[in-house]
Amino acid sequence: MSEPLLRLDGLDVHYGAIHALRGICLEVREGEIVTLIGANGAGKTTTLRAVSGLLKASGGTITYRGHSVAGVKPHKLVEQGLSHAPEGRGIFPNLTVRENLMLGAFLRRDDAGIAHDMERGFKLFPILRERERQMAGTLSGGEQQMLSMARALMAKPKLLLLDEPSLGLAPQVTETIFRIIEEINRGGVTILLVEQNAHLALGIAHHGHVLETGQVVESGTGQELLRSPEVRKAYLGE
Amino acid sequence: MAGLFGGSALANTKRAALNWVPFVAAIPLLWVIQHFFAEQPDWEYAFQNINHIGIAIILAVSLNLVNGLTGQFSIGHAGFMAVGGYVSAVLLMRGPTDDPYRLFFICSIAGGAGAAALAGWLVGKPSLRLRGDYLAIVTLGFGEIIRVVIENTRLFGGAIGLSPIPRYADFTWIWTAAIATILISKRLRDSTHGRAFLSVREDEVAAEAMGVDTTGYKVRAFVISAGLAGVAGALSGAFEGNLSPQSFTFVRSFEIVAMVVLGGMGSITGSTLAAAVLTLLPEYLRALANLRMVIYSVLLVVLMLVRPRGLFGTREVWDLLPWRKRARPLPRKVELSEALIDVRHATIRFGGLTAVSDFSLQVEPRELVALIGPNGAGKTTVFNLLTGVYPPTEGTILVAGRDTRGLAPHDIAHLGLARTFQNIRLFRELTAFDNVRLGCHHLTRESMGAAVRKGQLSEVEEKWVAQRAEELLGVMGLLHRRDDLAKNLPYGEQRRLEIARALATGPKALLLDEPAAGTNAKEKAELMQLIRSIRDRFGVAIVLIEHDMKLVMNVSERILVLDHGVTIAEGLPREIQTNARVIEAYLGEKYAREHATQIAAGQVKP
Repeated sequence: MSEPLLRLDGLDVHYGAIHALRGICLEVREGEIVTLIGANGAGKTTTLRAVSGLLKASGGTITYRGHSVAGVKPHKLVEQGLSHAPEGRGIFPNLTVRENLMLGAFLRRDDAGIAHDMERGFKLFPILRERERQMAGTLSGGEQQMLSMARALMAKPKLLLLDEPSLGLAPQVTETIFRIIEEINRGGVTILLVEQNAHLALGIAHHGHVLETGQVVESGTGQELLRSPEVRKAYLGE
Repeated sequence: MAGLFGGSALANTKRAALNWVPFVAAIPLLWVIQHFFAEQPDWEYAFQNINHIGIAIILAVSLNLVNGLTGQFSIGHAGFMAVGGYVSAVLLMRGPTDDPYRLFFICSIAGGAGAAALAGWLVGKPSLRLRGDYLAIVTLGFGEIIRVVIENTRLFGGAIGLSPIPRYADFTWIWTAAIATILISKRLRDSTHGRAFLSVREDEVAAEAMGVDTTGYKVRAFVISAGLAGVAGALSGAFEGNLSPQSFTFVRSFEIVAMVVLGGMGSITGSTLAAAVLTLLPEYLRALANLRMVIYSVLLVVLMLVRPRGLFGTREVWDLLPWRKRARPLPRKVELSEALIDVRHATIRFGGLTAVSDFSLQVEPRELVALIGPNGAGKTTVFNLLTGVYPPTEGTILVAGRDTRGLAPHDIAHLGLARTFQNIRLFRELTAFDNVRLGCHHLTRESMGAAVRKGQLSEVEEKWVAQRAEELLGVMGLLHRRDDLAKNLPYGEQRRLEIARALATGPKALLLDEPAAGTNAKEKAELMQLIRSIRDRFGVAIVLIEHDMKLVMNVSERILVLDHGVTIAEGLPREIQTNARVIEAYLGEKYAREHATQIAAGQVKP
């Protein structure tokens, strides 16, 4: 088997005295959707932040496309096709929707490709086209969530880290978002997904990992985890 | 500013006086040091430096109130120092030549401080309504204007300066004032007022929602800070024996800003230490002659690179000690309340866009109402209308029977409305405990003066606030997070902390904006229980914005559906679930199909 796109090996992260991740091991292969599920504080967001270089690991290795990401600046990782749509959106409130999207394509120089991807973003999220000239800060919470995702896609990522894409979205929109994630994935983007809606996430994931207090406690294909009695009890509310 | 230093009851005076005993006892000690050392010729140079440090400490610690604790950016501190210095010097030079008990000297210091505080009020009152950079420009301008006025006024000695000023200020005077400044600063910081300052720095919108009058607190910090700078100016003049306008250029202001930044924004001990370091550094580099300022600057840059958040960050020396109070949960009933929110035909337009139109909502005490609708329907805007973030373009909003037109968000918070925010607006750099204690802010009655005197009322109140905060942390299952910074809590716990903070304001109605966002199915089930128990235990009405239909349908007694700013349906959960218009606009066919049998069987309880 070929080298996975992303591999975490014994990843440790500390916040001061708090030991947030304790030896996380997992792989993301090219073309897959991999999801992390778990309770609040289990370390899902921390894992994503460590992968995209926003947090420094205190132990273990993160290998992306065969190279260690240790000490690589977040913007360098974006150059190498690793894009992160963070929890809490992180949009630029005083820039227009269009400017936010253009900043997502900051490192790209192919104008035609940028225009094409912008068009694709508007197609995926029609409401953003209506709001194109509006300040992003005036969008409603759910619209900002859509903008955050559309912006991450503008970087033309190979690996997309999605942190709670359904946060604050109406039920119908949530389903649309998951359809879009599958669509993006079919278009060749590998996805590492953190999501509280375990049902939907495992439904579309090739592989899933369950995190508890900073450790992977269970792994399997999406379907296997959906059938696992422990997962059903703890995360699907049954 | 009437009432700013209004005292509490006389009964507290004795207790308050006792709290000052160590300070008063220290004064003779200072005098002894002065008598045996400072007056020796060998020690003259050392004590000159020590006295300069004392003055620098007063300046840095007082500026820290504004720039560090309150998060404003003033760069005109030397201007206030000049006002204090000159007013006091003019008084001294015209006062009685013989002042054996230094009574007139005290009066002149008070005069200088008062004049500086007044200047602070005049500058601060109009400009502190503005945000951020504007204040910096205004204070920079003020500092320069003061200098130019002095240079051109004969009374103040013009460009040559004033001399001779009676040299009354010595080691004892300067260090008494320096220690008093630190003490005042620390006591303010540890009081409910200090937390109000911090809340302004962290998030003004959230601070208003907690009932903190943000402009009021900025002005207060500014006035106190300017007054203390005036004391420093008065002491400086009476120590050097002369004053010249060249000592009060903006370079001086920047030196003081550098002390605060180097010490760590908001850290009193940091400002104190940095004042000493930055006063001594140029003295000891004097041997290097021309290179002196170059090396001083380079060292400053290096220090900031090594410690980008300042020497102490936002912490204090005593925070580094392994001393922490443990939580003691204590049951206490929070008072019940009566009738509440009444919105009539409220409309709000932003430019051409009508965000919410003709919205009406009545919420009875202890009622659980949900507000649902597609993204961008105007749900959060309704919360912003209720809490006074935006005034309605048309219509009226009554909270607890009172028309809220013209009221600021903190006034409405006082009427008993508390909220959480969709995008979480905790005070990120404060602990969970402090976040909740801030929620108690508007319930406290101690005056700032009382906080400084540390009277009995303030102690009783502090204890009460701490108990209340711990109880609420306990209710929300966050007691184990008491001393963690809010920003280090995972998402779901941050949401719960926001609820605890909102409850701490003692609300009659609680507005929850997507409390279940970022929680999994199991946590959602717990949240349902929690919402019900909050209502039962605290007797509050709850208005809920939420996209999780299981939660909404289970806890709410009544549901309003918004779409494009218009109320398209209102009724019991069962009615909403089967409403064709709601299914089309929001719930979706899939939801209707999945729940058809449930709805028919009446399993989903209203």
